[in-house]
Amino acid sequence: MELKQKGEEANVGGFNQLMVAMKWTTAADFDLAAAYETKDGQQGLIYFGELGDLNALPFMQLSGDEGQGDKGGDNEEILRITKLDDMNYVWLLCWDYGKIKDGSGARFKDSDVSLSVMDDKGTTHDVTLDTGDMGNVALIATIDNTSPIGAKLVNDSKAGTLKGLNSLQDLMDIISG
Amino acid sequence: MAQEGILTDFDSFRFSYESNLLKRIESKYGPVPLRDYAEAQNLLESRRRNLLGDAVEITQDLLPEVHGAYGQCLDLIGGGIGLKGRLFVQQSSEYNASVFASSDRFDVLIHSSLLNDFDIGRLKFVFGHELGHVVFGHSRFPVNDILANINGIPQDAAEMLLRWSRATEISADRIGMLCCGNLGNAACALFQTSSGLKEIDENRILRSFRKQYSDLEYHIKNVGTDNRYFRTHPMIPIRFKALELGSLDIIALRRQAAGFSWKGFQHIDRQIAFLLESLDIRG
Repeated sequence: MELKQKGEEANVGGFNQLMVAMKWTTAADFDLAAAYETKDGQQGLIYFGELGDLNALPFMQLSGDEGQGDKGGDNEEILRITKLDDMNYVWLLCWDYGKIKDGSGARFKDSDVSLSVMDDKGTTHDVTLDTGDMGNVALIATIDNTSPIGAKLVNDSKAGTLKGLNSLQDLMDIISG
Repeated sequence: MAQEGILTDFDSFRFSYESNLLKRIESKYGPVPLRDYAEAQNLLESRRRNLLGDAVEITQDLLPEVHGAYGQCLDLIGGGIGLKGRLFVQQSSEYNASVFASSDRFDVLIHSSLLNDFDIGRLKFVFGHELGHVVFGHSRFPVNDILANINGIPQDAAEMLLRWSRATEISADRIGMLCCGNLGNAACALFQTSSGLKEIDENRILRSFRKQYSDLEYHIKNVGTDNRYFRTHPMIPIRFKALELGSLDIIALRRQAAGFSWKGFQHIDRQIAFLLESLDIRG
């Protein structure tokens, strides 16, 4: 299933694990990151500086920074989630860390960033970043696991600007803004 | 839909800990004696005689759904190498299956309780597991024969062989996972084998395994016992954990999905190896 436009959502309930692949071919030094909120309200961030753990909270892990150097081509970063039970939300983010450092805008609008989200039964949902917003951080999609019926994947496609990655709250302000 | 011959390089899919343990054994004790071709052929024919005499071959005519599922596993795993092998069933209330291979010939035997109690998805995990032993060539190593004479070999060597044997089961489980296509089928097959319980909700099974793995890991690492880890198969929660950590990559490989790469798979494989070695050392 494809979620090409902002606001589109898919019920993806009934899975235990997810593999998220962020792909782009345009020349940009993007990173995949995931912010999360657990069922007991703890918030955290998985990014290239804190890759996470598949076998302990947060039960998610990034493959590492594989799209370095502002190069075009088949760039891809992977996030694996082995257990979603303890999470209320996982926010899937793309940022250009170089631009965050100096507070300038990234080239989201001219990029072809997309997410492919595969569940543990092999069903894949493609999410396209659909925003003309200026910024250096983009919230591409949210995994909303608050419903007892099952999780929902939502194309959120919005961007904001950070100058330095100083606190998780700065990021959460963009997510909730 | 089954894809044909999804794996072209079985060694890349093999649990690296298995290969590393064999290298360590051979560097310390010399080459592990392999079963020679004539002996293997003889064992295969002898086993086949017994199967033809005491078991029943599963054919398309006899059990079309089961035969079809087995055929799908053969195509998926062995399509590229023309993997062929016969499937037999024998009456037993014990959940078990076995295989013996010589070169590209092999026979799989499953117990009737599996056919009676396992659904097709879980049976595919069992078939795949046995086919895993074939494609990884595990029958070439007469480990049981060596271990039968355990007093004749150094304890350290015996322990290393047992660790290797346990690692081969993890490799075989990966092929099982590839065949059954999702963690739920694999976990339910392991759960049912271990507990004998049927019709338990898949999510309860996953939660049960996760909790029990944590308890087992804690026990192995923190509570001393006189019993060393003398087993040819890993404890079931450990098999579950190895599958749980690797399952997304295995499913992505099966689906040819975005996100699968051999580099990523090797990264996960190393994490599983680290985990299992840490349990082996303390066990």
